[in-house]
Amino acid sequence: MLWQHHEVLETLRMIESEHLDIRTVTLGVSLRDCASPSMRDCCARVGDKIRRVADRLVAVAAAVQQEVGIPITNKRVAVTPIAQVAEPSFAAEGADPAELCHVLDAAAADVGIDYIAGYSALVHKGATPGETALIDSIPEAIGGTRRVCASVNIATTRTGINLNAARRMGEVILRLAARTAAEGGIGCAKLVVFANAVEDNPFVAGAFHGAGEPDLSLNVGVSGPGVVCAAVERLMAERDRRPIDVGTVAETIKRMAYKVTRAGELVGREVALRLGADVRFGIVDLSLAPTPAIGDSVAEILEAMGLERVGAPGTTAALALLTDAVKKGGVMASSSVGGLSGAFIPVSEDAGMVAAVEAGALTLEKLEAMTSVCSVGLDMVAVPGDTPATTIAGILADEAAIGVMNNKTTAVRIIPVPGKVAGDKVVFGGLLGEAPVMPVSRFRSDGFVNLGGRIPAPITSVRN
Amino acid sequence: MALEDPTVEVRNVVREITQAVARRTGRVGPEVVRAITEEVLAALDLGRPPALAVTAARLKGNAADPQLLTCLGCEQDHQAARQDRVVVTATGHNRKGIVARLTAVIDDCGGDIRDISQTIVNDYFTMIIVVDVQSARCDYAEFRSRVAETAAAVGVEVMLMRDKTLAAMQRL
Repeated sequence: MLWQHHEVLETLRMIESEHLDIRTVTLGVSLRDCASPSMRDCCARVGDKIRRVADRLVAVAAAVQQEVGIPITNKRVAVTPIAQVAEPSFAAEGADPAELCHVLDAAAADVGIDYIAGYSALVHKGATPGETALIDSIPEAIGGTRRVCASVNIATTRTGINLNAARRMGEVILRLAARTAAEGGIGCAKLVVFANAVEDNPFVAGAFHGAGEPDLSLNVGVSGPGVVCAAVERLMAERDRRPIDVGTVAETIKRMAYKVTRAGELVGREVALRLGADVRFGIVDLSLAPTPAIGDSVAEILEAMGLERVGAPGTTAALALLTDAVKKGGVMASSSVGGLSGAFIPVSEDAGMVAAVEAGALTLEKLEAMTSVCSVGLDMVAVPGDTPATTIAGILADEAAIGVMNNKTTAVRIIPVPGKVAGDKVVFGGLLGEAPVMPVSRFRSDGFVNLGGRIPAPITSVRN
Repeated sequence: MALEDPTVEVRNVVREITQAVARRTGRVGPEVVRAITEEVLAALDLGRPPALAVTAARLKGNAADPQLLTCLGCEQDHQAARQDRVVVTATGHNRKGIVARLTAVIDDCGGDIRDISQTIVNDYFTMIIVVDVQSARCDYAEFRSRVAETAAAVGVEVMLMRDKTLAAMQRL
């Protein structure tokens, strides 16, 4: 027998009933050749290049999906941080950065992709005039488009935390929520504030095509919380028959992560190959990315390990075990591991997280603790619409501190839902799901946030 | 291409091949190339003219093969890539004619069945067929839709995937 029954059937079970999918194939596109002192030129070049290089992405992904037999959920494009591309154009008299955002949106619609990300600025040490212009344009630009995602990097381990940027982003987030108030502040789901942002992350909203990347690269984000959860559940069901401890759980997760990653790499290489000689396969991002579907939840994995609810004491330890085992299995499977690689714990996109918040098991503070051991940070968290900008800035600074001090990426995607108070619910729909509005500390951060300046880089940054 | 003088043609081709091999192994002088060429020519039995033209043509064909000019590892990759197998898995309630209908459509598409296994547990039918589609008469998309149509007609669920998916996920 060329293939054993159990090998074929396990693979099919993972796809059919455990939601194994390739969450995203993301084409990274350098736009550095599109810079121009004329805004009009820049817009034309950006639109042309995206239409030219991403034209076949959706069709190629569909063909690969059929052959490999694994669904590819999203097709996306990540571009060079727009503030870097358009610095000369933004400097022109009367230039409106949002214009470029509309160009990106239109190009994305034309090539049929789900999202285009990279309306971004990296301001961890300070902002150029172009970056400041881009940040100020975010509410209008992102609020007025459908497919464009923005990100701002406000801190790195090497430079410390730009508190001025955190303060400014607190205001931008509130303005973006107000601009999209009719849809529950959904614009904020397309804006990420990073510390230690990575250059090859395929996941939106935080994707951008970094300065060290080639002209075109193809990055893949795998998924598969359902696969891991089912494996852990099967293992736990064997407890009566054989001794099982947390080490056995870690081993099981590692094996599943290996298989999921191999599928991701296969798809990435196939798509890159078919897109043509100038597209290079970049990385596989190992992150376990949940969806609102039942059985596709990171929270359920943690609960399968024996926690009554996510948020119960022990959650951070269980999440640390999960993230580490995923990385170890994935690194064994591929030499091209990159991106964020860990586990995502978005609230609205994960049915188990939503249930835990509603049951009172999971608070913002516990989530923050969890982000110190998983791949990103406070993700898709809805908070009351009247949360002050300085409080949001404080939350951004706290997350950045976790990232900076632990040498890891952290991010915040927070949605102050206009008109809603703690305990209300907001529905975003689709993969974004629905979220309970979580209470935020009523104690103020104004004095500290308004100090401004830059929190110096930690001693661990002096490594040379 | 017409071969004017098979003997000369064969001699040239054998020398070309030997030189190509020598270049890759390195540190092989012209005298070694000459010696190998003579040895190969002797082995080819140039005394029999009808065989000669065939040999010449075959050697010529091989010399033009890009594989010959690349490395052994590349050749292995090339061969692996040429292995074009699809795993068809059918599941559903057992009934007469499932195997017959599915194998017939695979044959009709020009697929070569390399392996087939089938189990029935409690009247539930599972069949795995490994098909070599290298010499199929239709492309993958058409193959897929024809197999799916037939499966629907006999009332079973069918899943198709290239076996490289299994190779990636199930084998170290």
